[in-house]
Amino acid sequence: MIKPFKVIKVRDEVDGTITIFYTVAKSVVEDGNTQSISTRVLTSHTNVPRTDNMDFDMIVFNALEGTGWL
Amino acid sequence: MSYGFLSLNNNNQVLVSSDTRNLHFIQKISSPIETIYSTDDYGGIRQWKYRATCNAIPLPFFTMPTADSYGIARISDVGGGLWDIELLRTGTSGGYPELYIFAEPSATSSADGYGMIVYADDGVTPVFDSRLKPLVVVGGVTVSQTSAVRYNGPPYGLSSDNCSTGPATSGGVFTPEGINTYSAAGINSIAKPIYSYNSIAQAEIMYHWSRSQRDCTGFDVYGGCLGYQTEKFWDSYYWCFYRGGIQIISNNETLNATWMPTRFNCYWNFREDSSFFGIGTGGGGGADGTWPYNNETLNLSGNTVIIANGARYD
Repeated sequence: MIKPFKVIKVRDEVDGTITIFYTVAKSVVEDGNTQSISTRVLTSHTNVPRTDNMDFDMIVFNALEGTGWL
Repeated sequence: MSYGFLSLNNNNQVLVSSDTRNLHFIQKISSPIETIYSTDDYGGIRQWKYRATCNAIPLPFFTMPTADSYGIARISDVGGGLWDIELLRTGTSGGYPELYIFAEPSATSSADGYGMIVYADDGVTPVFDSRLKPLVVVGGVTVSQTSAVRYNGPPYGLSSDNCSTGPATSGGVFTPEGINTYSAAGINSIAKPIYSYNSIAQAEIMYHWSRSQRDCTGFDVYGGCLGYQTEKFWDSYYWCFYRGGIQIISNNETLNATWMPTRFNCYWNFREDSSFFGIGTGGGGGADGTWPYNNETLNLSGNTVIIANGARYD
């Protein structure tokens, strides 16, 4: 699967968590017309406790799973 | 100390000292003079302005009659011994919290002919006056808000087109989640708890939805357009601004450090380009709304909540 999101920034927070900022995109055909293509993009973030060897992509994937973006 | 007055308790803790400014009860304010901001969106936001008469810097305490979050947003000197105190509260319930104002004794006076006054080393400035009601602190806790107001971004949902979801109806995706919980053991044994808490922590969340759409009215060849093509770009920036608050859960005697939504809005822009066989034929666009702040959380250092018993001053 081509990854539809991109981590754009990771910020360490003072309370031992990290905030991961990302964009996620999705292309859709408007009203069944293949000559009208929309690309929808969301810029958002997720916050998780800091641990060793964090996989940021997997954290974002888990955050987006079931939301309609993947 | 060669001169002055010092009173200690059994644990050598200072009760009254001529070297410190002891706080005394100045006045109780039952209702605000103005509602600065009120909405039932986003779970309810209330911002009230109370006015105190006080000849020194006031320290306000407030009651928390509901399970909502509260915090002092601002204290400002408006001149003539008047101070405006802004209080924030979440929720939609009616009624107002009461304010109890405390300040050093020079802020007020008493006509009572009996009592004891302790002056500072200048011999003029009163620092304790038994005729007034001194502030008795019955509890306190240092609190701080979570770094994250929300832990996850919003699901697929708000419109990217001209903020058309509406900032008021996008409140669900901004509902604060971050709570730090502290013990408030014994709070239920205080007849009428009143709290001093300044809302210092601030946060902002912004979600940017965008969309681009390409319409080809000619021939679509391998993703390219032979003929007339339009491309449209929409951006909507939904945002919410938060202040730190406190909330009492009396069932289990805990105090929560919470986030309170205080303002929200949305900014959008739109642009359009068109071309004919790759040659630009014009474009346009527009923008409106209120520009957001930046995603950020500020002032998370520990902040003291002081608890007193308002029944002593009623």
